[in-house]
Formats: sequence, structure tokens, C-alpha cells
Amino acid sequence: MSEINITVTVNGTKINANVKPEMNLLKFLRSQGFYDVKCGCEMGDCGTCTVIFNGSSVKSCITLAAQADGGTVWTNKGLGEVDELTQKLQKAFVEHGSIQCGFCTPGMIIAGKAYIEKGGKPDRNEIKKAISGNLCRCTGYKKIVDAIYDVAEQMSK
Amino acid sequence: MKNFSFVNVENKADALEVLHREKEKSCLVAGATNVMPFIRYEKINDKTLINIRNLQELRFIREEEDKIEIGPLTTIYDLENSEIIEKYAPALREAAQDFADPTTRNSATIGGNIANASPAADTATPLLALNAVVVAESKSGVRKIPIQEFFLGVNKTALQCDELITVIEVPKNAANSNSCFIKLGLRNAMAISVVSVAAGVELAEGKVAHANVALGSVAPTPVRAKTVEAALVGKEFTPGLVEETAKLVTEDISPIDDVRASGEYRKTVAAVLVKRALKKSGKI
Amino acid sequence: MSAMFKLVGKPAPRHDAWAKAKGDQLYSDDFTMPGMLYGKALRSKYPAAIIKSIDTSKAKALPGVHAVLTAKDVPMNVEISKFGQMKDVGGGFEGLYKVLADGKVRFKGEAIALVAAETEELAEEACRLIEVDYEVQPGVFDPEEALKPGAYIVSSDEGENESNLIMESHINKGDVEKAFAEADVIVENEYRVPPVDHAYLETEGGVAWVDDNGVITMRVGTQVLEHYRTIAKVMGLPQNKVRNMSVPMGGGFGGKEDITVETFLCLLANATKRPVKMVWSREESLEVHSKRHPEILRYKTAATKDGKITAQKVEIIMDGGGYKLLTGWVQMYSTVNAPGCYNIPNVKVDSYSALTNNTPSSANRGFGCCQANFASELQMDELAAKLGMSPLEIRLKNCLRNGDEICTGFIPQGHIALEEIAKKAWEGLEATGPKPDYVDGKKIGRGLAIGMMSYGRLTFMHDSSRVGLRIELDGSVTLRAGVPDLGGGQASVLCQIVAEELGIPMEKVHPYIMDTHLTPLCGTTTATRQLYMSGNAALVTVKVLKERIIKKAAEMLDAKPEEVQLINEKACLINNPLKSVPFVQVVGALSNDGVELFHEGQFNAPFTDVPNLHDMKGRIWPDFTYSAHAVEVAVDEETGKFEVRKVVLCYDVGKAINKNSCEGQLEGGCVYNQGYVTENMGWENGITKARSFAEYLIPTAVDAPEIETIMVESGGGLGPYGAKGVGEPADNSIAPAIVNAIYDAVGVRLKEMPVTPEKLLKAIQEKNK
Repeated sequence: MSEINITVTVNGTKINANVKPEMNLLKFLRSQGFYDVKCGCEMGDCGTCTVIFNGSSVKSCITLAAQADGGTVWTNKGLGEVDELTQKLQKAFVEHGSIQCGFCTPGMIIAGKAYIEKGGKPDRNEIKKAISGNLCRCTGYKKIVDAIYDVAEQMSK
Repeated sequence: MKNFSFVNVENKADALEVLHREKEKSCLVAGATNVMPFIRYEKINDKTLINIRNLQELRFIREEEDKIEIGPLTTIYDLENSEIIEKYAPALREAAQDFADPTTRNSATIGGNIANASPAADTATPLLALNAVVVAESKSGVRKIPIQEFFLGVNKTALQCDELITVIEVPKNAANSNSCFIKLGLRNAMAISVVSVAAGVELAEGKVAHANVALGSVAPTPVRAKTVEAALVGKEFTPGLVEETAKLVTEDISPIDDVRASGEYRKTVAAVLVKRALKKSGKI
Repeated sequence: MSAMFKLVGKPAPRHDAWAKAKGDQLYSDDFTMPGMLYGKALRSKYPAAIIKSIDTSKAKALPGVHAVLTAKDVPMNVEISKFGQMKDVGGGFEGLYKVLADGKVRFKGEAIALVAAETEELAEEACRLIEVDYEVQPGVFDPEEALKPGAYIVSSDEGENESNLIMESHINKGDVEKAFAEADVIVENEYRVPPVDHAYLETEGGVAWVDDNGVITMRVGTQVLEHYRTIAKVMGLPQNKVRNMSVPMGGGFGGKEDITVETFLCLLANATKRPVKMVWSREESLEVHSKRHPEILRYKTAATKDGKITAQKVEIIMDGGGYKLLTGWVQMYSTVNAPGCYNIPNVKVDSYSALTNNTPSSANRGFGCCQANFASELQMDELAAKLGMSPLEIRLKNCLRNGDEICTGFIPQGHIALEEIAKKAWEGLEATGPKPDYVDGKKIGRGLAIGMMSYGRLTFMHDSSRVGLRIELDGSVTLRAGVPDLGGGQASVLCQIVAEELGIPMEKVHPYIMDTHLTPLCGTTTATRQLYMSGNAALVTVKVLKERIIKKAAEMLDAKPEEVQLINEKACLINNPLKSVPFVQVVGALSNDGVELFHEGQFNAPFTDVPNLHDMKGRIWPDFTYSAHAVEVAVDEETGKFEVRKVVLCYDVGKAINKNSCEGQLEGGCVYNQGYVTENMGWENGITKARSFAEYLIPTAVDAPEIETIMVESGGGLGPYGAKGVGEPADNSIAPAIVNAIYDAVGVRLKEMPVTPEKLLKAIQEKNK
């Protein structure tokens, strides 16, 4: 019941806060003003809350905030300020018309980054698999795949 | 109101100590992908959340002389990308590839997946077909639980409340090296299986020496298709034999109706998937 | 002509694309205010019950709880719901809107009480402490049962408490009985279509507070800004004292067309005089917000031996659920679209809608049209199969062409490209190669469906839109429009139109949107109307300013106005572009002259009278957009599982103003209603079994097919530059094309969605018996 104190480095800044033991990482991040991490279901079923946690992409709604104590978290917004790959993805999403309502976009860009960082090639089927944990209801996915494909191609050259 | 406390542990010894202390209040959390929905739906409460996510010493895939050893903190992503798993337990690798989605696979662990004991747990079905052994440890000692005795019911296992899975052993043998996994879900990703099948056969001079067949989502726990196995062993491995014996699987399962499918449908599809898995494993 | 465009037709990044890409865009849930409380609704446990009493005393006593409200605390708990229309339509169209349940509970999850507390957890706890004494009722869950004499009556409210019938509507054209008597072939079938959740990734939510001047102010994403008027009535306040500074939505699809959290928030903020936030959980959203109407559609079709349809008789029963909401409007779409996009001399349509104790039905992308399209396109293939014709042949034989009248006798003004697009879609699929029999052991099949759906609202609603423009002294432009943006680029396209006309880059036009009291009201983002209505309003408005600028520029260039054009931030002579004056200088000169550099213009759609519902005739909508989908599926004959491999879609979009946005609508709509075929709410006696996105399965990236998008630009639309609307027509003919393709693969046509592997396998097994 009693709150616990955690320190998490989010987008390069150390954040110290008291949280409830059962709080999820999503709510923690949003309570600290990282609103680009979106809440779509809180059950791990939609991917809108995807962030990079200790180097891996995770769904922050099904990660305990307390587990992030001493760890690092990067969100799409933070990465966009420092990470070239994320910047390329953001640009490609803008230019390919991959964004409609934009609610899935931050999570989708993280999924695209995770794919390319693991050596993902410009391959439509593989890209679709890589983003299969991220729902989009607006685009039919085509233009999202186009954008990630474009960046994967740039990176493989 | 929700009522939890949280303890972080950094090594196995500490984990066992905390489990010993907290007993029934213990709730181990690794990838958290099952625990978080349970907290949200208040399926659990008044627990001490014991964080073992950082227990790197229990994250490994090792090859020994007669078996492979998988640490419980091994993620589904690790399973997907391991050459050892690919070589000695391909069913497990295929199950990992069909597991939820790539992001969830970065967090979810094999230990968590079996300890949660969902009838639809994707790694449980292959581990059952592979005749895995779960090594559990508590302050009072170590014991080995054959996987056939591990699953007791929906979300129920043979683990005591102070026990920690420390290793999952998979024997090295031809049947396991030939094994495969097939899942039928209502969607191509993020889908809970309607039926899953893992099978491994070993042939000797054209005849079935060993046949291991397990199914998920067809009973309160993952189950072995003992009738099918018995009908295969010693016989010449032909498409005809496979077609006939696969139908016997309805003797081994007791599926229920749920939001995804009826029990009747599960029976029909189970036979189809068993047939396909056997053919794939026996390469006919 | 198109070569003249600088911006129109280009795949221009939208004004908000970068903010969304970088994660800067704020949505309804992203606002926090000092002293903010959290709101929560207590929801009914039962789909049908009488509320005997409510005891809120324990909840009120909980420390940290600031308000607990029930129906008796709402100044006007029952109101007539309007949906942004400027006209009192009457005729039984406007439904009853009730804020909190009293008397009878009409569906499971209906809000009974509201709580505002210091934290979400406390608000939840307070809801648990509210004691409701229910007298559980049997309820009625099937619309046909609901319409039988003696059925359980869903409503206890005046005007609705004698019968569950919401509305009936009829079309009578020619003499169907005579045509049936003379027919060579008759095909008769019943089709059933299920409820659909919008499944936008952003659930319903927002914040509200009372501002320093006593104005109830909120930030809530909605498709209908004009709901502030209904909210004011509910609150007993003047309409100029309730304001929504709305925010972009994380998807709408019709689900944010009804009032969602707005009244709840305003009541709680008013009661506590503190800011209040309320965001629905995914479970709440799936259970309580309105769904697409489930319908039963019975078709009887007569044709000659050579495939000419001579008569179509259709009976439709619609499940309106617990509240009427938009059922009457939706029914117009189902009724008039029932015969499909075909020229049929004899038509009879009888449609009925009923209240039941299911979750209410209301707007969902496609709005009654895609239900009728599903049934009529399956019926076409049934007829083709009986006559031994191909799906393409039967459609080409019967589809509407320019000059043909639809079933109400109205002749569409806009271009009808059905023949062209049906051919292009089908030929596009054939061009991907000959159809293989099997791929990876799965049986391959191909199918076709075509469709028509209106853009713009029902003409008897007398729709209008307004846009305001101000040219700044540095040559940039401020655009003001109350256009709710749900992700379709509704605001951005207005900037594109204005920039095109003024010859300036799109970035120089900035939109200020979605404020009920500071931006001109554009009307709803519904009915595929924004490009048509607000696009035209933007065009009317910018043309007024453009005329002033050109007139001044002509003076400065010593030329006649008709010799001057605006291009590349200059005013120049059409015949001598080198003779020019910078745009900003013309603006400066106009300012010096004291000429108004602002304008607010209005565009009105065509107006008609409310039709006689017993014999609907004449114009019902401004115009239609036509669609064609050719689909390839693969079916696992042993498990019934199928997948959609390829889709070639072809639309006449009139004019694609923003190429990316237009394609994005068509592709997104395609996958949206690919989901129609398989998504399953799991309704059982008023209970929603699909509680989460782990049960309500919308397509993921690996379920979506490869899509080839073919856009025909006839220029024959009523929107700006000849554009047609595409938002809803985008999801129109995909679902029947998939089901028809499954028939082509395995010889069975499931006439009821969702098509589960289980149902398909059963049908295959029965056929093989």
C-alpha cells in the first residue's frame, strides 16, 4: 500500500518520484508529463504506449513503474531530439502520409526503430510482422509500412 | 482498493529469501506481461510484487551433453533467436515466433509464461511435447518437476509459493530436434490460440520410435495426446497412418466453448493440426 | 486544367503531421489543471432493470469525494438530441438524449451516477459505495422480437413507452409484384450484419472547468462541436456560456458523433467548481459507446435470363439498442441504399428500426449504407451464380450510369463512374497474374463488389458550413474553422485550398480550429461532409479576399484584374509573369487603403423538404461517391481460417486534393471494413463479451492485405475543384468483396457476419456432404 520511491532516467533526465507499487510504467510516464506515450488499452493489446526501456522496446502499460527504478526510458519525443534513426522515421512518416489521427504514431515509430536497429531489412512482410503489436485503425498500415521501408532502405545502403 | 507492496531482488539467493519470507503473499514479476492485466482486473490483490526482471543470472540458454537448459528469465525474443533452440527444440522456437507480438516478446519470459499456467500459454504446449523438466528451488532445496506434472489447472501449477523456477531442461533427442509447433488463432498476431499443437516424432527404419504430441487451449491445462501417441508408436510412418491416428486426438482433449470458438470446433481443428504437425515433424 | 494547380493534387504533408510525428500533439487526455478532480460514471450492471432507488450517502461520505450526482441533480436530464443541424427537422428524427438513467435502465453499462474525487482510485471506490436497488427486467434483445405485440417495452419515457418501434420508412417505385410474376429468375436471401465497435485507439475523454467568467469550458475531442447547445440545455445555461475548446481526436469513425463525456464533465465541474477529468477505459468504451447498427436484411430479386434486374424487394430490420440516438438518420441510408448501386425499374423497400436492451446503435463509418451494400452485393453474386454470369458481367449489366435515376427517382448530378471503376478494379487484380488454385495449401478465390455512398448530409437537414480567413500584414494567412479533426486531414485540406487560391505556400496558412465560440462553426465531421462543405466554404471565402487582392494588384501593375494571377507569393500578369508585385506588398497597400483583409463565408448545401417516409421520393443527399473492390483470399479448407491476400480498390474521387490523404482514406477504410467481416462484439442477451482488444480483434499489420489503390479523377464531384468525399465511402464495398471471394474459393457464401473460421468450416463441411 505504501508508496515507493523510484528514480528513472527518462529521455536523458533523471526523474525521482513516489509511486504506488502496482502502478504501470505508462501511468508513471504520463504523470510526469511524457504525454507522447499514449494510453489505448492498458492491457498490452494495442501498442500505443510502446517505449524503449533499458534498450528494448516494451509496452509500458504492462511494465511495472517500480521495475524501471534505476533504469532508462526513451520515448518517441525524446528520441526525436537526439536519435538520427528516430528523426529519419519521423520524417518518413510525415512525407509518406503515414499519420492520420496520430494516436498510434509514437508507438509505431518506436516499433519501426526497434526493427531497424535489430538489422531489419526493407522487406514489407518483415516490417508488417515487426509492427504487428501496434494497432492502427486509420491507415490500413500501408503508408506506415511504406515509411519504415523507406528508412530501412536508407539504412541498408 | 488495490493493496500491493514491492520488493526488488538482484540475485537468486535474495529471491529465495524473499519468497521464503512472503510465502502466500509472493507474486513474482519478471516481464510483467501477465501480472499487469491481473492487477488491472483485480484477479490478484494483497500481494508482494517481487521484481526478478533483473535476475540476469537466470537468463540463459545452455547446451549440455544430453539436454539443453533454459533459464526462466529467458525472454521469448531470446528463444526466437537462439541457434540452440532452433537445433534441439524447434517447436519452442516456432511457438516463440507466434507468441503475441514482437514488442511483448521482448519482455515476456518463458518462466513467466509457464508459471502463469494459462491453458493457451504458447510455450507450454511445446515444452510438454519436448518432455521438459522444470527445476524449482526454494530455501529448503531443489526439486525437479516433470512438465507432465507441472500444470494442475487454469493458473495453477505444482510450484509451492516459496519456489522459484531456476532452470527448464529439455532433453536432446531426435524427436525433440524434429519437433514443430502449429497454432490457430483468430488473427495473425496478438492472438490467443484457439488450438495449438506441438509434435515431435523419431523414426527408426521408417517406423515410429517415439511420438510426442501436446495440445494447448483444449483443456484446463496443456495436454498430451496419449491416445494418438500410443497409436503411432511401432507403426510404419505413412500419411495414411497419420490421417487415421490424428482423428483419435478427440479422446485426449476436453475443450470448452468460449468467446473465441466452440469446443466442437476445437475438436475438429485439433485433429487437423495434429495431422499437420505430425507430417511436418516426420517430414512427409 | 490540373497542370495549373500548384498545391491541389499534391501529397502535401498536413499542417499537424510533424507535431504528431514528434509526439507534440496533445489529445483530450493530455491536459492537467491545478486542483483537477477525476470523474467516473457508475454504470448499470443489467441491460434491463427498473431503478427503484439510489443511495449515494456512503459514497458522499468518503473523504476526497467532491460530488456524487444522479438524474435528479441534472437540470434537464432528458433532452432532444441534435447533431449539429441548424434546422429543426422533426418528423421523428430527433431522438431522446438522457444524461443519467432514471426509471428504466435500457442497456448494460448505462450511466446511473457520476462521481468526482481527488484521485481515480477514490472515484472508483466511491462508485462501489453507491447502492442501486434494481428490479431486474426480462429485456428484449432481438429487434424482431421487440417489434412483436406484447414485447417488453425498453423505454419508460414519454413518447417511447408504448412501442419499441423507432421508425419505419418505405420506398415504392414501379410495380414489383408484376415484375416478380414476369421474372425469368428470382433470388431470395436473408442477410445479417453484426454490431461494430469503432475501435479508435483513443478512448473518449477530456477535461472541463468553470472559467473566470462563469463559462463552463471543456477540452473534449468530438466530431460534433455543436453539441455545446444540447449541453447548455441540459445544464440550464445559455448557449453562450458553454464552450468546447476541442482537441484533435485519436480517431472518430462516427463513435465520437454522439455526446460522450461532455455533459458528465460539465455537470461535475459545475457541481464542484473545480476542473474535472474523465477518460473512459477501453472496457467502458467497448461496452457503452454506440455501435454500428446490426441489421437483418431480406432480399428478393427478379431478373431476366440475360441478367437484367427487373425488381428488388427488401425488408430491413434495424437494432437501435437502448436509445434512439441517430437511428432515424442511419435508417435513411439503409433504406435508400438497399437496392444497391443499380438501375432497377421496380423497387420496394420496407424498413423498421426498434429499441432493444442492447448497447445503443448510432453512427459508425458507413452509416447504414455499408449494411445495405453488404447484402445487395452478396445478392448480386447470388444472382450471377444462378444465371451463370460473372460477377463483373452482372454488375456492368445493371450498374447506374450518368442520367439514371436512383430508387427515389432522383438523378444524381455528379459523375457516375461505376462501370469504369468496376472494370479497373477487376482488371487490376487480374493483372497481378492468373488466379492460382492453391497457395501454401490454401484455396484461392477472387471476388468483386461495388458500391455507392453519399457525401454530405441528408439534404433535408439544410446543412451549411462557415470558414473565416484573415490575411496578416506579413502575407501569412490565419484560417479559422470549427472543423473537428479526427485524423482525416479535415483542417489541413482547407489550408491547401486557401494557399492554392492565394498562390502562397501551404505553410503560410495556419489553421485555428475547433473552438465553439472563437471559430466559425463548420458543422459536424460526419457524413463525409467536411471537404465538400467546409472545402467549398473555404473556397467561397478565399475568393472574396482574392478578388480584393487581385483588384489592388491590377492597379499596382497597371493592368486589368482579369489579367492578373496570384502565384509564388506574387501577383503577376498572366501573360507576362516577370511583371509582378510581391503578395505582401499588395496586402500592405490594401491595409493602407483601409480595405478589409478578413472575411467569413458560408456555403449551403442543396436544401430539400423532409421526405414522406411512407413513400420516399426525390433528392435525399447532395451526391454520391462510387467504389469498387477486387479481392483475393486464401481459405484453409480444413480449419475455415481465411486471409485476405490482395485488394485492388478503385474509386472516382472527383479530384484528389491531397493525394496522400485521399489514398490514406481509401486504404484505411478498406482495412476498417475488412474487419467488418471478422470482428465480433460477442453480444449475448445484452452482455458484451468482447471486453478488451484481446477479444475484439481488429486487423493488425499482418492481417491487412497488400493494397493497390487506383484513383480515378473525373472532376465530377460537388466539392471544391470537382472533388467528392471519400471518408465513409472508403469502407463501403470491401466486406462483400471478401465474402464473395470466399465463395469463389470454396463455393459457400456466408450470409451472416462475422465470418468466423468456425462458421466457414461448418458451411464447407455441409456443402461437401
